[in-house]
Amino acid sequence: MAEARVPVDDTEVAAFFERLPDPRAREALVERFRPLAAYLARRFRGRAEQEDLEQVATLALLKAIDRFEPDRGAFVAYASVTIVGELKRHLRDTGWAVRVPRRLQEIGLQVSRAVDELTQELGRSPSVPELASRTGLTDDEVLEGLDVGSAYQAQSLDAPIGDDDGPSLELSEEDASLAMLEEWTDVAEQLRELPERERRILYLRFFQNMSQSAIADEIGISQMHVSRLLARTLSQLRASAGAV
Amino acid sequence: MSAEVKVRVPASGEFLQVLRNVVAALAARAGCSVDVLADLRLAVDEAALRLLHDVPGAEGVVVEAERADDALALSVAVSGPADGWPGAELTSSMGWHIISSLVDGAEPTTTADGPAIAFRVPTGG
Repeated sequence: MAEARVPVDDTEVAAFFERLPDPRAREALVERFRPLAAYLARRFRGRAEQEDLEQVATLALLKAIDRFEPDRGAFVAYASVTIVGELKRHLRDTGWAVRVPRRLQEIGLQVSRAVDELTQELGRSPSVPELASRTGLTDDEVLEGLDVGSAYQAQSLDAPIGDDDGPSLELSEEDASLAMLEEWTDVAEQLRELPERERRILYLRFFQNMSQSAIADEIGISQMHVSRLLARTLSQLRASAGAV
Repeated sequence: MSAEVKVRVPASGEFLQVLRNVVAALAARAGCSVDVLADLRLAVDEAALRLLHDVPGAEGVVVEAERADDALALSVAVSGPADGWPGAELTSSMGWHIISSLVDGAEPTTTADGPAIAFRVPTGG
């Protein structure tokens, strides 16, 4: 890793990269490039809550730091591509590239949080009346929130970083199951093209019979986000199978 | 089944949202958990699209729902000819695997309206 030729941005940055995975070096890099993350997040202003965009950008920065290999070129370029990619993915996943009325956004966020909190507290998935009494919303508003805010992602900085990188232990088992599924249909190509996170969710729900909230817990996103990703993945697979 | 609730929408994708919402509201009232609600929405979609695909010329999609012990029994049907339903490949299809993973006791059936897929979801905590 520590070759003589280290084409990072400057010697100070290069020195930090050489000291990884030292947490202090990592933190120094985060501080150094945080303004870049904030700047890129501002470019998507108005398409989601600014605070969320900045969180997504910061997480993407951490991911970029952990994945960067000095012989890949300048870190600034690598980080920018990673951050913009994650911001776009966030907007796509949350579906908020299309403007949702603020009231619905708020209800969606409120319900999404309550789902995850109550799932933790009760040790099971809550009912709509339980969510209503937790949030002070009516049953109908909760339903509306479940539907509309589906993917609103209140991701914290504690969320696992880089959960979709590298080969995981389950991968071979996962691939075997997906191969079985591939035999049934002509969606093989589409399955291979799915992002790893979506493939994993599909696998856990349909081959491990894990509940959506258990998957949410495992992957580190909200239950409503899992729900949204599943719906989107199924509809993509269907489209590619030519079934409606 | 003598349904407590029966909803019919035109056979087109844009009306499936209506169907999903009605079914989710019923399930919520029956006490289903959020996990069940989310799976149910996906299952209704999958079942309706599968039926529309397999029954060309279907005019409407009909959902019937009835409370049973600790469960909500549903059927998704399309109005159209039932000959050839269910096709031999139905239960080995990916769509079928998905439906049976999402809900309990999925089975192809025929209602007064036409070809249908019936299933149950658990109610109550």
